[in-house]
Amino acid sequence: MRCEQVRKQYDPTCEPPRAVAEHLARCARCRQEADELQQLVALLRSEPEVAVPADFNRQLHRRLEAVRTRSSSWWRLGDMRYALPLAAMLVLAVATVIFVNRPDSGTAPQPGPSLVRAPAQLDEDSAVALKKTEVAAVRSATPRTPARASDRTSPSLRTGRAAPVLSEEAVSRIPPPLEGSEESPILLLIREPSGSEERLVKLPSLVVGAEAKPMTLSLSLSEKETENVF
Amino acid sequence: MAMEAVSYQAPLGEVVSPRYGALDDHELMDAIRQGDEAAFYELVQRYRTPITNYLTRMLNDYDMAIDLAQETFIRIFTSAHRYRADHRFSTYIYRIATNLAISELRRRKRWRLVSLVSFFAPPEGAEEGAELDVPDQRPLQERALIDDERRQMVRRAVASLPEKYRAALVLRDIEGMEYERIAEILRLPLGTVKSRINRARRLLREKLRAHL
Repeated sequence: MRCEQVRKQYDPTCEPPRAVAEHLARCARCRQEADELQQLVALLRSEPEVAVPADFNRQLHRRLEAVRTRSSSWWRLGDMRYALPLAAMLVLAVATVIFVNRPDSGTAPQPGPSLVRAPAQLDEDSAVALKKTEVAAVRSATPRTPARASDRTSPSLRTGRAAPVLSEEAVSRIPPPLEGSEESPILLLIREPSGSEERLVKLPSLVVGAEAKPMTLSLSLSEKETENVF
Repeated sequence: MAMEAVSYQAPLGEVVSPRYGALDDHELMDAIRQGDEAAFYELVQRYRTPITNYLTRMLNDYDMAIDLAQETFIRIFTSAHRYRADHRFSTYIYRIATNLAISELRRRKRWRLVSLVSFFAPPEGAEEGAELDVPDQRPLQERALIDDERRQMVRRAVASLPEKYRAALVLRDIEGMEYERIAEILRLPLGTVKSRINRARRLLREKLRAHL
């Protein structure tokens, strides 16, 4: 038997197998290692026993009661460690929804043209007819009065500036919405800087944000008037 | 395992009935499952000292050993409904204690707690079996002091072993358990247990050579 095998097989806590014992009898080095391992085990086993504190059971009882209380309070009241963060998250979520959907969320009122959102799509003929009536309405606009049409202006404009004068009359001439239509064209009320004149313009539906397509302005607006708008 | 007296003082002053002393561990667990707290304290009485000893050797920290021993019993109590008598109860309780001890050792390692043990841990790249300390050879020391110093050295040396070797060595060479039971507790093959214990002894021999 080789030394390496003896090192693997020798166990100081057990009677060695005959082959190991024979090797130890003739190999001084392995015998010394075996002696040291035996001393080591004796040293480890000589460790005095650790005594538990006198109030071990009493401490344990207190901890057990605490565990029981915690466990029962979970069913009774819910575990506040989780309930509080959950409640906070719920409040935050509700607040976020309210903030995002508030009427004047986002931008501050900007000076600019007044917008009247038409309730539904207009067909071509109606649009052409509307052009004339709109212009006529604008040109015949009477002195301004508080307009109920402010209800129909876009939210940002409700808080921005005074409602346009002719809105009510002009919008009243808009044909009723087509059933099932999803399109909602924009009517643009142009007010001269001096405030002496206003015009209503129907913008095509290809309007993204404030980026309108001036070429689609179907009224015979001059370049100057268009610049006034945007 | 040595049993302590059958009758004892349970917490809050009541005396547990001696009849529990006649029950084996499985029967006590059955009673605990029915909510019998006296049966629980009978088990505590039987195992609190060996479990505390084992945890003290594993952690080299008496206070933490007491804390984890109590935690072990709490887990026994709270999970009694899941207990299955397909192994010895002692295997079950040592397994819980071992898991708690290893979790604690890993927690310490994660948080890099400074302790005496860390001074004896081999530095990175160093030989695993480097000798711990040179013994004090000064003459005229009291025998008790020498013994005490040696015991301290042994505890630190054991505590400096890698955890996978430490549990096996403590269970075998300090607690005196059979290899088969250690394999059950650690859920390892028998051969792995034997080789780990052999390796642990040789590491310890290197560390404590000057004291052998």
